[in-house]
Amino acid sequence: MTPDDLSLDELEGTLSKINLDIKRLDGTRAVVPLREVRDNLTGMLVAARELDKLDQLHRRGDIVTDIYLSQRKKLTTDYYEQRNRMFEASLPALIESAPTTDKSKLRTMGQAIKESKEFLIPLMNLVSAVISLFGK
Amino acid sequence: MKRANPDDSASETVVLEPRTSVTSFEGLPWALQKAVAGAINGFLYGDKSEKPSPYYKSPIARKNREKLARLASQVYGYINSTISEHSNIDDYYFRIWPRIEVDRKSGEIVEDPRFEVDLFRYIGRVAAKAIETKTRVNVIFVQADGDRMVSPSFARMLRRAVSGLKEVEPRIYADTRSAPSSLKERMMDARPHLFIGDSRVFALGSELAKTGPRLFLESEGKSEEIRKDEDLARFVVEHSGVKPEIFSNDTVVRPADEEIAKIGKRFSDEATDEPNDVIAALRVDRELDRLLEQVKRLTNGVDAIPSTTVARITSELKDKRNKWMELKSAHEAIVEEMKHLQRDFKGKRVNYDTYSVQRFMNIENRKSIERELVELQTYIKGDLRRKVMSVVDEPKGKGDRS
Repeated sequence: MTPDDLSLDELEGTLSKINLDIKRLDGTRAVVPLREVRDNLTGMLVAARELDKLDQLHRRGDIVTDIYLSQRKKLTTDYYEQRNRMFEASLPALIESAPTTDKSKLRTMGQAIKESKEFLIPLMNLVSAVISLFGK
Repeated sequence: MKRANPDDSASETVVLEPRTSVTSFEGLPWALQKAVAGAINGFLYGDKSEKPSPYYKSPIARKNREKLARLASQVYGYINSTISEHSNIDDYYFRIWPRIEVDRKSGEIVEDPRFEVDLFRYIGRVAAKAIETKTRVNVIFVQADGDRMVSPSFARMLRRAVSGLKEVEPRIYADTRSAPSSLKERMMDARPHLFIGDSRVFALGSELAKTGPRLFLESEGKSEEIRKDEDLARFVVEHSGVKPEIFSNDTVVRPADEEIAKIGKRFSDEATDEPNDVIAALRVDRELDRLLEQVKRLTNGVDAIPSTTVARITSELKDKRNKWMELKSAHEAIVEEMKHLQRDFKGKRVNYDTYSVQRFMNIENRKSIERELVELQTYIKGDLRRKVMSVVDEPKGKGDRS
């Protein structure tokens, strides 16, 4: 999912839900990786918002094109860094923290998140699955 | 060409803005050297310079050459970023407008020169003579009766001389008897006469010299010697109002505004091509996961305390994974940027110059990231895998457990 495809409202909703889930999982080993997921999503949200703002500034002619292009490159890189960190580090750690010996189903869900263009819904499904394994 | 600095009298430098001839890609450095050296020499010595001028072989000229070579390199860089890498460079011609600041006394270039480039589309080469005339001109020659020496010789010379002037059709009468009465009335005496247009009439005089007969065209007391065909052609041109513009062998080009638009379209067409999915092709994610999994098995579970060797390998694997993620993110960002840039260009939010320069930078950037990705993949699948396997294959109990 590119920054342009991302719905900021949906992402904000997802973040609110994850904040609630963090409270529910308090005291379990899934809290730390889930906080990392939240931080990654927050980073993506910030980058996407900044990109949006930058685009508006350039449309209005408030910033010169050179600055617009260089800033956009930096923010786009930030966005992808956060997304990849979540896919490659935070989510696998969350899956590993689940209290089950058979993690194949969770790994399949994790793979689906990476391959899905609309990754927010599969992400929430994975988080819900992990929470249910903790019996909460 | 010459522009003095604002606080001129006190200034020790002068800004020169010569322009080069329209030249090919290969000819640019030479054209630059020629135009700038000519301008500096002209500024220093004017038209009264000795021949050869002392400037051209001076140490200052040699130093300037070095600076101009750097300028040529910058021009090449600019042109390479402006013209698609898929274009044939032979299709384009260029004119450079350097802006150089030189020392008034020595002629040394004191600041890095700047430049502008005119881009031309190469059409072809012609070898032709062309002429522009106000009106069509009649040139009539009436030979003298019984003259077998001067008149025939002059008639042949006239035919040759005006052959390049296509708007001039000579008519030659062998004697006064065959000439129209209107011409006969305008003749001054019995000598051969040349009529140019409706108003000009010249008598052809001759005298015998050691080298042969000398010919003169005389009118109203003025006389001009005609020695060769070119003299006669010039004489006809001068007295007929014909304005000749003669191209010997020239290169035909046209300003490339349309071409730039076409290139711009080609750029945007090219940009629609999806780049190869390098990340997926390298298959490093899976390899790193597999290696980490194998190392993790040695630690007997997530919470077990690993040996120092295993810890070192795990740490290196994680480092490489972070590096991989960083490069992957940069690659995805640059691919995204290229798509965005194309959209901005199509939406006229970015002009052509910015677009082409930025696109060139993005391509270079992407290539360099891809090189790093490939190097990392080679290391991970080669040396790192060997390291991991040497630890994994080590018999249990031999590791330095801490």
